[in-house]
Amino acid sequence: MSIRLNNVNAVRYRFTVWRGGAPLVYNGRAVELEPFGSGTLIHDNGAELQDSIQQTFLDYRPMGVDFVGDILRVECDINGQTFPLGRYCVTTERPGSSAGVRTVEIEGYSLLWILTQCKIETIRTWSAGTKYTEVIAGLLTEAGFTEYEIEESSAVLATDRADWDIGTEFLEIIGDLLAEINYNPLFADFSGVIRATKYSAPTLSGVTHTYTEGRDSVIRADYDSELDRFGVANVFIVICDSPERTATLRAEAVNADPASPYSTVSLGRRVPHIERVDNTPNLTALQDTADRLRSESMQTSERIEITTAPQPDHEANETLLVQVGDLAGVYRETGFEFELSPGGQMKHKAVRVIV
Amino acid sequence: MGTVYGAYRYQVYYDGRTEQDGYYASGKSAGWYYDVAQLIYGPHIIRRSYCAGVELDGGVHLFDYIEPRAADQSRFTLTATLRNAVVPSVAVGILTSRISSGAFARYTQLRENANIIGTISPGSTSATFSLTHDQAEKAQLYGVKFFPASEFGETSSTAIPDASLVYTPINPASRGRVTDLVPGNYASIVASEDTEISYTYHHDYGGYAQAWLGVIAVNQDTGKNVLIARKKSVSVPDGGRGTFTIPAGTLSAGRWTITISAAPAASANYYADTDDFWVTGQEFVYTVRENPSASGVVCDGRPIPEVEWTGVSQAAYQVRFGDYDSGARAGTGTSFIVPRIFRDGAYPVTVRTASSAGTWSDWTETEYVTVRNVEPAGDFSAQAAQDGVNMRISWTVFAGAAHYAVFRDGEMIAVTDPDADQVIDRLGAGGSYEVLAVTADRYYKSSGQIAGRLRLAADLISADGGYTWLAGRLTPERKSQPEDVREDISFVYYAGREKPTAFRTGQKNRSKSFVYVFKNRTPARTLRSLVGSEVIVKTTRGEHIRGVIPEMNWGDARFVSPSFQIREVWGEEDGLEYPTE
Repeated sequence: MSIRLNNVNAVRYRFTVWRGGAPLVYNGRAVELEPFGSGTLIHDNGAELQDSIQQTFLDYRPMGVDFVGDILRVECDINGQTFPLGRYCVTTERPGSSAGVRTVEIEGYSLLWILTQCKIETIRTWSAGTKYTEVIAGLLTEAGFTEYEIEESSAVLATDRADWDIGTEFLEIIGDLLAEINYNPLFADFSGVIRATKYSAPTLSGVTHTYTEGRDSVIRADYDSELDRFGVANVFIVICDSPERTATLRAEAVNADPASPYSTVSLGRRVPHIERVDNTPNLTALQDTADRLRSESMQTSERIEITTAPQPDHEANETLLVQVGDLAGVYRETGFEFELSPGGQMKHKAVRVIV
Repeated sequence: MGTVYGAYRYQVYYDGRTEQDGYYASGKSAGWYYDVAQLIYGPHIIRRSYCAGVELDGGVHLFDYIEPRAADQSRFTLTATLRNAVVPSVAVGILTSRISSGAFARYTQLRENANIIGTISPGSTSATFSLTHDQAEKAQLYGVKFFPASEFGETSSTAIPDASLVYTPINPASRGRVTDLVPGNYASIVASEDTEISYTYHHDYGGYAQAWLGVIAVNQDTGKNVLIARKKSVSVPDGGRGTFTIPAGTLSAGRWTITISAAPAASANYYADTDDFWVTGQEFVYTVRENPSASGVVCDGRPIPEVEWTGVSQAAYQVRFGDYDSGARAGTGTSFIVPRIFRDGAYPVTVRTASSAGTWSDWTETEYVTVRNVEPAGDFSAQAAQDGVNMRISWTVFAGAAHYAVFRDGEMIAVTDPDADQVIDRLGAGGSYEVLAVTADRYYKSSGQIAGRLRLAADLISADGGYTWLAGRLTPERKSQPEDVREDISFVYYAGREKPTAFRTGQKNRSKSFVYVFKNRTPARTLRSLVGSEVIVKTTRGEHIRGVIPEMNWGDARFVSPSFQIREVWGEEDGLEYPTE
């Protein structure tokens, strides 16, 4: 459940430049950027673009690299095994010099960045009855993506939709629509495929990575954790009061789990959280949203940050089983960070899940 | 049976346009044929009129004839319009048995075996006919004829009718539709593998099973159409699961819209062959991904090895042989000559390939290849001698050499053309040299090891690649110049492990320290100007180092005594490749 380590390990991060689906070639060889010092690669479920990278390279410009259209790819080799770590649009380049060596520091973001560049230029109208997935797929295609996967859903727009102002980013529209049908936020996986997946509450059987101390441990002993009770509710009411609907829709989910310290049973009182949404395909989807809020509320009281060896097989929305020191339980990963250097470690942020 | 004399005109109209207009010479095969399969969905007017002078033998004649291309034509409307009253009535008949080929035979069968499905009564100007389900079920092939009713015992006439026949396929009330595709809409499928797609079929057409399934794919970027399936008589009940397969290699990588058209038996042949069948199908979208793979890695085991593999969906590749890594290389070629010379021994080799979308396959299972040199016959020798402040390595010409490769202390420092017979080693300060005469078949003849040491009166330092050397002789303050070699290793402690885990960079840091004394400042200042530059130092002890002086410590005021360190960096001759193309 975690990548095993040898006693002595060779870890190497590889940075290549691709142009139009093929490696960029300079002097007969594929361009590989030479890192200058350590960089960071961050995934954050809550961030709009999810993945970002910061790294300084030896000056690559003489090799014909042009990040206006070129894509930076990152891979991690661990003891000869290769893992993709994403494709990035380089948005910022800072040429500099260090000890007489010319360098370029870059900042890059996941391919979702392209969806922030694409904006609607006229008011778009999607008719009632159109499938949500079709609208999303249409926007992705329009943005030039061919590699995307949208989990199938039969949900259709309940009303004609022309909600978004001129200039709204495609990513925002897609994000709104995905939220309405209770999907996870859009993300680009590390192989470069844009994915829209249904939200599912973390479960013990759904654990994707296990980090426990012991003989084959890859988890550091030091960790941080905090309990955040502020704003924890136990009744979740979601209301859709669209003017285009004849009636207001309302869904309610109650945390009555005795195992949860914040449930109506444990607290002995209702602490409501009310959320209004602009639209929803139907009452079922609205109820799913309420259930999701309840599920997430049962996770958010304990946040942890742990450090492990680099585990480049992580993607968005992983479920972790952690046992180190006094820390033990199932956690939903909310983000992670690679230190892009040999020997660099990986930090994970996660919230406890009550399963 | 009569004989038609003269000629008659036929016309086909669609959407206000005349699609066909022509004349037939008369003859016994007095029917003409229009292939319904060519018709676009919608009303078609098929009109034929006899020209003057036509004479019918027996007064009974097939007037018009519609023949579906290959199958039963089950539900349609025929509106017969009688424009003159020369015949008191006409009948429309169908044939429920297979029609022989040949126009005359069809005519005959229709005339003799057709079942009347209706007549236009005297005084009427038009009538509409359609088939029942029972008729459609029984019929395998049938045509329609439109002829004077006398054929069926009605009043006969020898007059020529001027009539038209309007053929209108009926848009079925319910078409088949498919749901619950697996893999679902927007899923990825792999170009190089058969993909079976299953679906649930629905219809409400009186219990008929699915009769037609059509699957067509359209590439969203190029518009290219690919017919995936066109099946007739596919038997899936309402609500049942059906499948079709997208064969491996049918669709290239990209985004494809898959249109699935399905039709119940009784209505299928209205439009199964028409554009409408496709246009009204249901659309699903799939991403076709190439799933690149590499396998079957073999190597010829020569000193300059050629690695071959089998690549699927390959647009780029990467080869690792021993400690050599080709990096990503664009190309569909499945062989690669490693541009290095390997000595006898066993080396690991592995390959991976990338698709046109840039997706990498896994690395192949590591194979160990034994490299064995078959030394070409013939004498070959080389010499190393000092030439000023450089070493000159020369050799005798070896017949059949494609290149000469020169090594210093095991590292290849030069590759020459076949007509060269020497190289000047400007960077080194001597060592153990070896020249390999490499033949076109990638074997080599070795000169053997040749010791050669540069004898210098003082250390030399150059900042321009070894073409000019710093003026002024440098005298070392001390005899030994310490050298430091290290690799940065991270030791990480994980919870529960007794000992740390090590992470290595694989990169060695080599640096060498120097201290010199200058009696005057001129050469010292020159030296100081080299801080931050790439320099080469050759020592009187036959050592050399190429690297960067990151900083310099200046000495006292009377005798300038700078001390500095050179940190070795990657140089031109490091990783020198043997030309393989």
